[in-house]
Amino acid sequence: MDQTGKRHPSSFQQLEKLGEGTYATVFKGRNRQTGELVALKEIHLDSEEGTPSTAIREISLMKELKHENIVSLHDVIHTESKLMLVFEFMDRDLKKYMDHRGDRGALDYVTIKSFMHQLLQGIAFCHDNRVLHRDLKPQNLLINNKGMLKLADFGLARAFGIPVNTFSNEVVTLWYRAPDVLLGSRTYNTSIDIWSAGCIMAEMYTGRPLFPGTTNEDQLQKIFRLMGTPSERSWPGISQYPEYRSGFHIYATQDLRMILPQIDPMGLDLLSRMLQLRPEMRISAKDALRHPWFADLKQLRAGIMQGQQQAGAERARLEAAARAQQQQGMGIGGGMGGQVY
Amino acid sequence: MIAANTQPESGAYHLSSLQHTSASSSVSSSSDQWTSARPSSGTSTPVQPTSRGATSSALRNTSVPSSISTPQPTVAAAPPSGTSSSTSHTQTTPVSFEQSHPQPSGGNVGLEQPHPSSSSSVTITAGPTKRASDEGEEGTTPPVKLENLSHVVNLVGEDSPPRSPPKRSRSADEDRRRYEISGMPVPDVIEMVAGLLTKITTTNDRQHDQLHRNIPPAEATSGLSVTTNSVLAFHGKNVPSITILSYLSRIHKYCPTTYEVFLSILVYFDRMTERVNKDPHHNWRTGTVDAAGDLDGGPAPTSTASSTPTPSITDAYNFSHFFVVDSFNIHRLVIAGVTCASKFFSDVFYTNSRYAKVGGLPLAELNHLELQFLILNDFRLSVPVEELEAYGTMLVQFYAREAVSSANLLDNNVNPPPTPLPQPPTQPPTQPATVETETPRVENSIMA
Repeated sequence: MDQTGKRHPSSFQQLEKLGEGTYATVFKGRNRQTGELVALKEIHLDSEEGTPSTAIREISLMKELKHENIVSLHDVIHTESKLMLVFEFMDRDLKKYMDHRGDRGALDYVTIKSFMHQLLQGIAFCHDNRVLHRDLKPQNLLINNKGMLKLADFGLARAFGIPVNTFSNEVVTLWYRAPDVLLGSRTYNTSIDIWSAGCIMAEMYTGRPLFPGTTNEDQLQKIFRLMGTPSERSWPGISQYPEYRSGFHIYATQDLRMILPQIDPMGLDLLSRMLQLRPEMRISAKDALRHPWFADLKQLRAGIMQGQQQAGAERARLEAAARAQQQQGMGIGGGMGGQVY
Repeated sequence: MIAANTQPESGAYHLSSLQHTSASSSVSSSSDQWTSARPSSGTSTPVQPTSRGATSSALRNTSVPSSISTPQPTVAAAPPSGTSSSTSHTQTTPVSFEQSHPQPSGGNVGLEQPHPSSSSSVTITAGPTKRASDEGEEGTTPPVKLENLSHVVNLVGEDSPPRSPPKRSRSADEDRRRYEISGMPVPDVIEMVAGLLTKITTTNDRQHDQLHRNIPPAEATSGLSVTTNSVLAFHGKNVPSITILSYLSRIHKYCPTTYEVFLSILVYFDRMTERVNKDPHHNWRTGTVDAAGDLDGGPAPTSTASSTPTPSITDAYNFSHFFVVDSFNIHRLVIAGVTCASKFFSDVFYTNSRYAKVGGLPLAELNHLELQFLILNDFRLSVPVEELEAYGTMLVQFYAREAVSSANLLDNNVNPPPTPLPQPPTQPPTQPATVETETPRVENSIMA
């Protein structure tokens, strides 16, 4: 049993600041005893608010969510004026990773597939444990030097499954917010995390956010411009949403390949299943993990390992693997007779 | 608020069963009835000790059969000023812990009734084996969806077993029935929660009367462990004069929230009780050693010792009784619990300054209590759906039985029990026999 309160903030050497959020500041830290690197999330306890709900949720949920694709919460240290959450250290978030490692932000095929698989595994685990993350975006996905991706920042997350009631629609950073949430839904479910994952997948291909809206309306419009404006016919019940307007500009559905020329057909299929406007049509995380697009993942990773032994730069390795993959063509995916798709 | 909370049809039930303080007359009458019910308890109680060993968590606090059967409603009326408290939550007047009476001791009928097993304390616990409740006619049925309190009360008719079953076997199917309370109005859930908490605190008050006298004053606790201080933070010098029902209703009136918040605090109380009382690594002995001396002869050693990995019986006693929910801490536990649970469960919650105002305590104290509450729960507020449902079922079964017994009481005294729902006339909940057989069961399940 980890005994909160036994450890002291002084057990950790505070290193540079990693980031600052609305309710917390994150530092890099080092365990003075073990030398282990950690991330220290300091939460100020406000007098009016008491302990922030974000902290209560993040701690409560992360204590239950132990998975290799979810950042591990090691410890909670408390004083009267602040809480300090001790997380495993991760090198950077996906946003920074794309900025540094990508080609103008865009990542290579193998990395995208690996990250998407890990992202979906983390999401599936959350959903299996009846937790909605509700704030998936590149900044909340952490990457370490081993190429592992982990979900972080569960401050907006919440448990579901208890017959639901008061869901806020002020969740998820605008750009990654699902259309049903934008339309005012308060009864959304796991599918909102899948929409975010789809947005993130597209962003890894292009290096740019897929739907960089400025307001709720603008966000909807950007989505409709690409996905087509839904109607009662294509989405029965849509007119019942609080934010539905009969005067939505009517757009025809575009081909996703127009903006993602790099994507292969199998990946496109998965992406379009995640970016379904109707929440009930969106693929589940579990099903997405069984999508044939991931069938060759092991092989690709093995290719990377080989490459590591032979040569230096990871970049070159990834590209080599990607090229190798493309040469093999779709035969691999098509061979997945036992798969769902 | 009260009027709004209660279903007209079932109002009579609550008045006697839960709001012991609401009217002086009802207090006396119900206490009479409890007295009358008491003897019967002895007959059906033997089941109990066996049950606790088997199950988990809060079971560790052994319940003693006889003590269970003798809850004193008057104790629950902690603040003797019962009449005022019944109305207090309808007004906007601020409540304060400090306006309370020193102790319910005066009205403490419980003192007249020495409990052979004064050591036991009550916890909540909705465990699978908890209690032999319904004659398991059905196998695994889907949960019964409940609409309101009268619905619950009606269950009694459906569920109540044949009078005085010869032997209560704890067969598996007895515990199968499940109830779904998510569809009930929140005030109805509150009423059930208040009824349970009132009974628990009442029982615990009597049973560890000596113990909290031995809790050291705050000034003397500097050397104690973190956990010790966390526990003591909730312990008030006085018993607040507002009833638990009024307090919960007041909270819901000014900080409306969802049913799972009120249900989950029961889970948290159980968890923290268990956590604190189980963990022998904390050096809180300093605080309770003397208590052990006092109670040396009293405690039921077998039960506590078995579940506590401690060297001696007295130590075991100390651990398992260091933290119990009673009238001195229940209000602070409730307001801290609701504050935490609202933040965890609901996207709608309020500032601590509002919770403090509504709860009648200084903001700084609430902030402190909130943190202590989290610490005592190891910062784990997640409640698996199954666990929440189990507590809901436990609560319904508790309330249904309470309704039966109080209906009987009422029937004897005043008016016939209302028949809220058009149910086929099963067993009229008014049979005196019901009181006798049902009452101890209540205890069993709570104490588990």
